[in-house]
Amino acid sequence: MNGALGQTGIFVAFFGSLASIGVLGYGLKTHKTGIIRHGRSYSFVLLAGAILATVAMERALLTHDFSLAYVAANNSRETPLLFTITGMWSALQGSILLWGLVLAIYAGSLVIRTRRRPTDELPAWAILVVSLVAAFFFALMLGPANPFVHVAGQVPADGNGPNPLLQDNPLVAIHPLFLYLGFVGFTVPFAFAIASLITNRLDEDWITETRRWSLIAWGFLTVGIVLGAWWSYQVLGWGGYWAWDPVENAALLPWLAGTAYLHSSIAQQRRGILRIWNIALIVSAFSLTILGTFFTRSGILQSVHSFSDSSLGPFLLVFFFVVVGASLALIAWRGDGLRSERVMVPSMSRETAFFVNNILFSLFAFVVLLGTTFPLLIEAVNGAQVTVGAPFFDSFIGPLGIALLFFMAIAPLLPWQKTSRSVIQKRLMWPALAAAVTVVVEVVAKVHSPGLIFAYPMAVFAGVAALRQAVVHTIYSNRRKDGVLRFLFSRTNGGMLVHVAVVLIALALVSSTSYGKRGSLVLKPGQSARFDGHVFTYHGIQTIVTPAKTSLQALISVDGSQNLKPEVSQFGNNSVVVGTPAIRPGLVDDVYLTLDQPPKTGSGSAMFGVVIQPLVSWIWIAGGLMALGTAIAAFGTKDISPLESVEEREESSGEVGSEMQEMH
Amino acid sequence: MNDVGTEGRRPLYSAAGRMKLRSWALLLAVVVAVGGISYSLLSSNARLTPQQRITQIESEVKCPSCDGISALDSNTAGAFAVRSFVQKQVKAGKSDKQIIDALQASYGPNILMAPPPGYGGRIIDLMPFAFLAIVLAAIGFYGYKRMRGIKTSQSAMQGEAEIASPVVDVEPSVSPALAVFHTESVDTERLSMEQDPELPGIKAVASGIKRLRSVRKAWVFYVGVLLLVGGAASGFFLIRSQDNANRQLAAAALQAQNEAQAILQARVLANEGQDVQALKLLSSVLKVDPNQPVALAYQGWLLAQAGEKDKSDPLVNQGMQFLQQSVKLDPSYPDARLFLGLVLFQYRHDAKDAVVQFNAFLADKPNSSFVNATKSVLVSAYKDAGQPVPSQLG
Amino acid sequence: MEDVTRKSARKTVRILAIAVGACLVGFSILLATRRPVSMQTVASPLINKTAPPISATTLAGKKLSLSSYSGHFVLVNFFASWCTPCQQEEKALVQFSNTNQDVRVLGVVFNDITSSAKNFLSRNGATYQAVTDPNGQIALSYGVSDPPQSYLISPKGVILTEIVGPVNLSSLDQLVALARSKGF
Repeated sequence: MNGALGQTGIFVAFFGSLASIGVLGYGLKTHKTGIIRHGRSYSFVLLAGAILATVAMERALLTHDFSLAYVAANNSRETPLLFTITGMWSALQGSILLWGLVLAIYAGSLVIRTRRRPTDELPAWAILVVSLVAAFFFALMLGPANPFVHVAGQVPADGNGPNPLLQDNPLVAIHPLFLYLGFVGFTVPFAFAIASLITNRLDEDWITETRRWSLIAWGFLTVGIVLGAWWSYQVLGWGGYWAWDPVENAALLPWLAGTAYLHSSIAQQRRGILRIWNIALIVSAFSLTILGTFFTRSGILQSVHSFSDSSLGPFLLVFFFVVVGASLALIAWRGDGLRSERVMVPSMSRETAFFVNNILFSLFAFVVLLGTTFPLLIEAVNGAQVTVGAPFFDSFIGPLGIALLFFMAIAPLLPWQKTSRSVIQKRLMWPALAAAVTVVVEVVAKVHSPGLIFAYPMAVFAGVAALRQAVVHTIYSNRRKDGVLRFLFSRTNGGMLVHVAVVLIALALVSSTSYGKRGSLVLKPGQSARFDGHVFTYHGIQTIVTPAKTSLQALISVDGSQNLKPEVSQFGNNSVVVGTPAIRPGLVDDVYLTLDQPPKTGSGSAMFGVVIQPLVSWIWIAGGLMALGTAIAAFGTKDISPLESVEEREESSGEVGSEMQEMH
Repeated sequence: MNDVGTEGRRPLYSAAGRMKLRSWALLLAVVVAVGGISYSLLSSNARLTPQQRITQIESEVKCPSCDGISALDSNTAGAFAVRSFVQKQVKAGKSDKQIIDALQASYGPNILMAPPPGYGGRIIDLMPFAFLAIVLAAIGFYGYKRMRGIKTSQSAMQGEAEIASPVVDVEPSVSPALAVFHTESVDTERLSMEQDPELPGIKAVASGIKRLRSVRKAWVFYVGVLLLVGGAASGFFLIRSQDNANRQLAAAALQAQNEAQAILQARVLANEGQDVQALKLLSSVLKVDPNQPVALAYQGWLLAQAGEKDKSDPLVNQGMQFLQQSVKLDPSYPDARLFLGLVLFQYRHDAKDAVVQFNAFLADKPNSSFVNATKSVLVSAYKDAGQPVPSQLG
Repeated sequence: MEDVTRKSARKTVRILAIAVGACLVGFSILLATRRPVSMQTVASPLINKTAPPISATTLAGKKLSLSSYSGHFVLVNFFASWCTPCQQEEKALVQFSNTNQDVRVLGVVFNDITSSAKNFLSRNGATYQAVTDPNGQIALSYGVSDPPQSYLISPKGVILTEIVGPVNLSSLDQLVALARSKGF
C-alpha cells in the first residue's frame, strides 16, 4: 500500500517535471504566452507528486511497514519516534527523495513568486531549468535509487534500525535537512543564470531577482554546515568538529562558491561589472553541490561517513559533467553579450576589494577541492593510497583565512568606485588601533605561534570594522529620524552581523585548536583526578538497557558539581559499539569526556578521554548569529541611501541635516 | 589618491587637522602591529623540546584505524600504539625523518596525514600557488586586453564625464539599469566631477595618464597586500610546518597529554640520582598545573631529601608542605603517603604521625615494590612511637 | 570599432571556456575511472621484505621469538576476542594449524585483555602459540590497522603475503602450496 502510494507519487512528480519541460519548452520556443502560462502550472504537479511520495515514505516508517526494503533497512520497532521520522534521510534512497521534495517546494515557490509575470520568459526558462533538475532526481528514484522497493521474499518481523551513528543525537535529525535546503536552494539562482543566458537578458535583472533566493540557500547551507560540525563534535568522540573529511568538504565547496557569489553579485548589481564571473560562480556553486553528492555517494574517497556507499556515482558524475559542460557552452555562446558595459579598473574601491576577496575564495575552494581529490590523482598515477588531512589544509587555509579576514574588514569600509584618503583613514582608524592593541597584548602574553600572531589581530581588526559599520550606519540613519529599529534591521546591518559572526568563528577556531588540551584519565570508582584545573571524580558505572540499545554509562562529576555521563552503546543487533561523549559546555571552555575503555567489573578502573577546549561554544552561537544576519540581509529593511555618501558628506561639512535636505 | 572634493563650503582647516591626527594614529597602529608581530616571530625559540617534537610527529601521523584523524587527536588503540612508538623513538634519539620513515615502511604513505615527497607531497604544496599564478595571469591578460580596447574607444570620445573615475564606461550610452544606478548612489566626489566643465583634449590625455598611474598604484597596493598577507604568511607557514607547525599547540599538548610523561621522566631521573634535573622537570609541571598530586608528592619528597642532606630545615619543611598538599588533594594516592611517612619518621622523628601515613599507604594495597620495605619501617615506627605492633606485620 | 572589440571579447571568453572545459573533461575522466575505496586493496609495503622481529611473552607467560620458527612457514595472525571476523576465521585457522604440521601459526593479541584472548583460543581449541603485544608495538611494525590481519612468512623470514580480514582454509592451503612451488 505504502509502496504503491509512494511509487505513484514519484511517477506523478516525474511526469510533472517532464510535462513542465515539454510545455514550457514548446511555449518558449514559439513564444506563445498562453502555453507558457499553462506550462508553469506543472510545477504544482511536481510538488504534489513529491509530497505524496514523502507522505507515503513517512507513513511506511511510522507504521513500520517492513515490506519496503528501505524501511526494513533503516527502521526497527524499537527506533524512537524522532529517528523514525528522520529515517527518511538516514540512507541514500530517502535522501534523494528529500532532495526531490525540497526541489519541488522551491519550484512551487518560484512559480508563486513570479505569478504576476506569467508570460515573462526569464522566470519561465528558470522554471524549465528547475524542472530539468527535478526530472533527473525523480528519474534516479524510478531507477537506481528507488526508495519504494519491496523486500524479496517474506516480510521481516523487525528491521535493522538506522546506522548506530545516526541514532543517538537529535542534531542528526535536522542537520541534513538544512544541508539539503541549502544545496537544493542554489538550483534557483543557477536556473535564473541559465535563463538569462538563453534569453540573452544578461543585465542585472536575474541577479536582483535571485538575491533573496541565494541568501536563503546560503543561510540554510551555513546553518547545515555548523550543525554538522556540532553533530560531529557531540557524537564522533574525538573532541574535534572539523576533520577536512570529504563529506565535510563536499558541503564546504558550494558554500565557498556561494559566499563568493553573494559578494561579487552585489558588485554587479551596483556597478554592472563581473558578469561572466558571477555566472561562473553560481554555476560552480550549483555544480559543486552535485559533485559533493557524487563524492559522498560514490564511495571513491576515504571518509568517516562510510555509510554512504552506493551505485549512484556514475549518474551523478554524468549529470555534473552535463551541467558544467552545458553552462560553459552557453557562456561561450553568449560571450560577447556578457561583456560588462564597464570595465573594472583596480582601485581602492569596494568592487576591487570584492574582486580580490573573490580570488581568495576561489583559491580557498581550489585548495579544498585539491585536498579532497588529490588522493584520487595519486591513486591514478601510481596506485598508492595517500591521505590529505589537516596538516595540508591548515597550512593553506590559515594564511588564506587571515587574508580573507583582512579583505572582509576593508571591503565594507571602502566606497564604491573610488576612495579619498580621508575616508579610508577615518574608517580604518579604530579597527587598526584595536588590532595594534591586540598585537601589544600578544607580545605581553608571549604568543609565538605564527598562526596566532596574525589571526588574533586580524580577527579583531575585522570585528571592529564590521561593528563600526553597523554602529555608524545606525547612528546616521537615526539622525535622519528614520528610527533606530528600522536601521538596526537594515540589510547592510544583516551583512555586518554575519561578518561579526565570522570573526567569532575565527576566534573560536583559533583558540580551541591552539589552546585545547587532551589527555586520558584512568580512574577507579570514588577516585578523583585533576586535569587542566578541573577535578574529575568517577562515581561508578551502570548498564542501561532500552529497547533500542544497551549502554554502559559512567558517572563522573566535574569540579564537584555537574554529573557527566559518557557512555558506550550497542544498538539492537548491530555489532558496532558507539561511544557517546559527554560534554559540559561553557562560554569559556568545554569539558569533553569519552569513555575510552569501560571497566571490566563494576569496581574496576575505567579509562576516560578528556578534552578541554576554550571558546568552542562560540562557534555554535556564531552559527546562530549567521543565520539571523542572513535573515536580516534577506528580509530586512531596505537601505535608503548608501552609507558612504552620507558619511563622506559628514566628513566634508559636519552638517548632516542641511546636506540631506539638499540632496532630497 | 586625491583629497576630498573641491567644494568651498567645507571647513578645510578642522578637517585637515582631524586628518592629520588620523594619519598619525594609523601610522602608529601600523608601526605597533608590524613591530609587535616581527618581535614575536623573531623572539620565538626555533628549537623544539622533545615533547614538542613528539606532539608534532603525532599530529602528522594518521591513526591507523581512522580516516583522516591524526594519532594525536584520536583515542583508539592504534593511536596509542603510534604515540608510544613515537615517544620511544624520540627518546632513543631518532630524527623525525627516521621515525616517519619507519612508520611508512610498515604502513605505506597512507599512514601520514599529508602525502610524503615521492607521493605527490611537493606537487600538492605547489599546486595552489600555480592556481593563483594562473588566475592572476588570466586576469592580467583579460584586463590588459580590455584596457587597450577602452583606450582606443576612449580616444574616440575624449572629454567624457567620468574620466577621473576608475570605473570607466565602455559605451558612451548608459544603459537604463545603469542610469537608475547613477541617480541611486551618488558620491559627492562623483557629483563634483560631473559638475566640472568639459575638459579639453590635452587635459583629457593628461588625466588619462594620471588615471593609469593611479591604477598602477592601486594594483601595487592590492598585489602588495595579497603577496604580503597571503604569500608571506603561507610561505612562512610552509617553512615552519616542517619543523614547527604550531608551537602553541605543542606547548599546550605537552602540558596536558604528557604531564604524566614528564612526571615519569622526573621519577626516572630521581632514581638515577639526578635530583636537580628531576626537580626542574617537576617544577615545570607544577607551574602549569599547581595541583598535580603526583608531581607535588615527588617534588616534596625530593626537596625533603635534599634538605636532609644539606641539613636545611626550611627545605625539609617545604618538602613536607608539598607532600601534605598532595595528600590533601588526593588522599588515595599511596606514594604521597609513603613519602610523607618517611619524612615524618626519618627526618622529623615523628613516629606517631608516620604510622598513620604508612598505614594509609598500605591500606591502598599498592602494587609497589616498597610494600615489604614499608612494612619493616612501620614495625620500627610502631616501636619508636611506643605502640604495640599489630600481629599481621610481625 | 565596436565590432572589433566585440569579436575579440567573444574570442577571449571562448578561449577561457575551452580551457575550463578541458579541465572539466580531465577531471571527470579521473573521477569516472576511480573505484570505491572499499573495493581497493593496496599491497603492504612489507611484502618481500624481512619480517619485523617478534620477541614477546606468550599467553602462557613464556618468552617466544619469531626467529625460533625460522626454517618453517609462519602465519602471523593478529586477532582479538572482541572482533567478530576473528571469531569467524578462528575455526579455519585452528584447522590449518592442525593439518599443516610444518607451518607454524603465531597469534598476536591486538588490543585485548590477556585472559579474554586466552579464553578465546582455548574455546576454539587452538593449540598454536600466541603472544601478547603490549602497547601494540608489534602490530605497528607489521602495519596492522584492524584485526584480523595475517602475514605469511617464508622459512627464510621474508613476508610473502598479507591477508586483510578473515582467512579461509582453502586459500591458506593454496597460498602455502604456491609459496612452496615457487621455492620459498
